[in-house]
Amino acid sequence: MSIETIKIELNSVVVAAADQVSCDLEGEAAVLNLKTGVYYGLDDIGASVWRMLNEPRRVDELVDALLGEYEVDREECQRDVIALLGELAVRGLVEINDGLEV
Amino acid sequence: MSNFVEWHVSLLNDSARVAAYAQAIAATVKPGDVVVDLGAGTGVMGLLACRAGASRVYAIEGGGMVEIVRRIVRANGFEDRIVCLYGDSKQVELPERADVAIADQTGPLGVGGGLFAIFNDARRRFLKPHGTTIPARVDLSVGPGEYPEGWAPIEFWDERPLGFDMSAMHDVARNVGYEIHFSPAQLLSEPARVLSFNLAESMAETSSGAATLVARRPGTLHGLFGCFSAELAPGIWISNSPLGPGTIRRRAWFMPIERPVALETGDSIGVMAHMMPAEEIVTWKVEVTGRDGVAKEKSTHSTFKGTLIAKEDLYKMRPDYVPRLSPAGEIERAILDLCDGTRSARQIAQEVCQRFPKNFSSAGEADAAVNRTIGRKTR
Repeated sequence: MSIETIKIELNSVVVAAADQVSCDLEGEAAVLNLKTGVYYGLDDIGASVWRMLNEPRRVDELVDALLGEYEVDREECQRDVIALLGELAVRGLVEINDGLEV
Repeated sequence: MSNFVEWHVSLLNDSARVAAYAQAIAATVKPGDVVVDLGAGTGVMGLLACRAGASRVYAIEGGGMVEIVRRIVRANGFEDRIVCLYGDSKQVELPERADVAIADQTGPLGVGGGLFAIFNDARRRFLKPHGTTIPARVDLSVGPGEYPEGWAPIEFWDERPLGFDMSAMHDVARNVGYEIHFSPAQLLSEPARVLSFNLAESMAETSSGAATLVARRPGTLHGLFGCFSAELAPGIWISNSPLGPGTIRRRAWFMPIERPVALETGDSIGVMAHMMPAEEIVTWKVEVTGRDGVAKEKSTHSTFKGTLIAKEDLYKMRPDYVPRLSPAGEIERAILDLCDGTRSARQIAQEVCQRFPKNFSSAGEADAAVNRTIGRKTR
């Protein structure tokens, strides 16, 4: 799977994959893909998204939550969240479903 | 264990372990065979192989113990049959292929010390087709444990030691394994095998397995006891489980859960174990369900979570991180660049001392830096 082929919309539903473990580092996080052994570091905003992915969430729900937490423009936030989710999906750390009911 | 001398005493004094290896080597090594010992230690496996009739043994040892092995080999009159090689087995070259590759089991789960990588490499470069490995197979089993004494160092961090809040260790304490001995009476059900590794075949980088256990008595679940069983040769086993087969003195592993859980007879304990042997990362998930089907506890633990990662190192895990050499890295690169086959270690040390005057206050410091760098990276 390449990042170009991953389709993520605002109504996509995203959840953390089963084959991973993560550790919280005072607001930041490190995630390990148990299948590949690859580590992935998340900054504080990425870690905020990650903590919400314990259960299935719509992308726009994640964006709304971040807008309540950080002072950031909505469009920029949407773009950054979708980019982050794409990175996580490429690394097998999240599962994405299109438009499913949460 | 306070030092390596005591460690080797403990290995050689473990009569069950020594007898099992002696028996397995006698059953496997045929007269005229070539044997490679992938981590010689005191060299005892090679001596046993010679006793079984090996015509040649390559005893590879990566530490200074190789000098002790050489003396032991001479003292026993095997210098014409045992060749001692210094280095990491993955870096060493053998002049011929071997019939048998031997490595001792290490660690409480039987696959520590890079065992997988060592055997994967040995199979590819050292063993003849259809060559034999000792051990042939390693199984990992887990059993639910009632272990209040093992819980003390875990809850310790929540109890304000010296009056200070040290709960920052709460998660770490629940995500590391504890080397322990346990007794069958501490098990709340029979252990179940969750992973099995065939060392004669190429092994995956990650493996996972699961089992559902049923509590055979009421008690308090504190975590899982993890132990290994290794089949050294057909029918010859060693294990660090008190239930055997072939119990040796090696300690097992206590893998804690989030909180103690009261179990009733018949409660279900779902367990999952995942291993990344190369990184020595073990993950365990435990899900307890009462006889009435109601979930009692569910938690996931991993030595990855127990690994202490500094924030300063975390950003290096990001894919957009652009690495640049640190001053120490610059020095190491300079030293390696100077290893061009013409300069002596002394000349290299003098050169780096001139190039990095702020980093070395004496020639001795530069000598030490060169020795550290060239140890395993040059020949």
